[in-house]
Amino acid sequence: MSKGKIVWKVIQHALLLLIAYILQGMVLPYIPLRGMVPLILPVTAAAVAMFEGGFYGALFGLFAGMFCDCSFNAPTIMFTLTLTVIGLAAGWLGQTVVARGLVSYLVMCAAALVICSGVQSFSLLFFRGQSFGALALEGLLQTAYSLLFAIPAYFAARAVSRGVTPA
Amino acid sequence: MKRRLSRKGLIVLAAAAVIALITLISVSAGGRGGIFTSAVNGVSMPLKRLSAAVASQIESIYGYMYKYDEVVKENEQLHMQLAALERERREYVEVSEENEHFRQLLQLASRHSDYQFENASVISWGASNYTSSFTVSKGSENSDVAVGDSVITESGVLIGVITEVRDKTSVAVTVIDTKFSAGCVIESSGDTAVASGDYALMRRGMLTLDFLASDTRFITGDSVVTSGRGGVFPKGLVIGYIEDVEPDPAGNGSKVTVSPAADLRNVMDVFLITDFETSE
Repeated sequence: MSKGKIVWKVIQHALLLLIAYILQGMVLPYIPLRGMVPLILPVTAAAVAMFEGGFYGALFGLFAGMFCDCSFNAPTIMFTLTLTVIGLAAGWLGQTVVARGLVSYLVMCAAALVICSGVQSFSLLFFRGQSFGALALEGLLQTAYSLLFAIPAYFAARAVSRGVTPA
Repeated sequence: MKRRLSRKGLIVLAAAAVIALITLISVSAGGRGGIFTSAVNGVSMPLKRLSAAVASQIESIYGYMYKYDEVVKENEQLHMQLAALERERREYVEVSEENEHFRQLLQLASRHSDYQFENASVISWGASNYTSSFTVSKGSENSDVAVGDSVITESGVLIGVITEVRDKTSVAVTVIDTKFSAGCVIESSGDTAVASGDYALMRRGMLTLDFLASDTRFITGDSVVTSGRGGVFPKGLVIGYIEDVEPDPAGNGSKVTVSPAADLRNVMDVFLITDFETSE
């Protein structure tokens, strides 16, 4: 791949990340569905990782995680680490054992979202004694709702991966 | 032919003379226009109306053709004037709302002269489903805000507490977040408890009361205010109102649900209490 194409791809991914961040942090919190905000950045990271491989996926996951922490008003630790790991794992799976199709992507996304819910509820469960049932239910609902947004993320990442060039 | 024409002419002239004579007699007798004038007017009236309508239409078409640019310009000017007026009206509403906030704050400040305030705006809400937090427009560079400062409305309703201070912004958790915990008093009875966030209740926009004495008396709608004990929160800030009381399934007295006094999701302007005199 030429340098120009690489730069163009990076720009497109940066744009994708920016759109996902704007949706995650500035749009969707104001229009929650029954109080629920979907996770856009993790599914976008998983999609990019699946098409681009482990290294690029981890890199995208790192930035996505930082933005995710930022939009959650949290220090850049929890999701910065989690999404980097998810990006790395999704990239590796996409290049080795998992077919790069929508169904396998959705399964991978569901796993990633369950991990995210687990990470989010960890301190609530173990340090603040909150009810496991309520947290588990919230995690499942969050995962299900976020999966709806995984589909456009998949097609956007696929379009960038297939080398959509400017007209 | 000549003779015939002149005869016809004479007949017409005679008829005209007769009409004129009748008219003259009619006018001199009754002071009116006469029967012929009325008849002519009666016949011509619809025609006159028609011609007037046609003239009006032609005039409007003329006006449209030749005054169109003028009308468009005038319309634009009116639109601009309307927009300016609308902007002024909005500014007026904003200023009067702000004025009202400050007026209420002044009342609060006069009741609590020890409070030091910083006004701030809510600039974003956290996107996490597991916390209830927001970012305010004051940080360490532009205010004296510190971790633990109370965030209130202009009327002294507690919204949350600052948990993180950045350079130009700060993060606060709301009273329904699981990190929130404050000593409180049930105003009607004077009984004490701890108001704290509970995850399941947070999803419903509520909080709970813990560490209640077994003989604590409640009435739905009772105000729950900060006790001021411990020196974290000033005394007397309204946290919320008792929404529901039911026996605790675990058998530990009652489970009390409190509804926050502030409409948390619609708060825009807030005040931070950066300093106050502790009651202990």
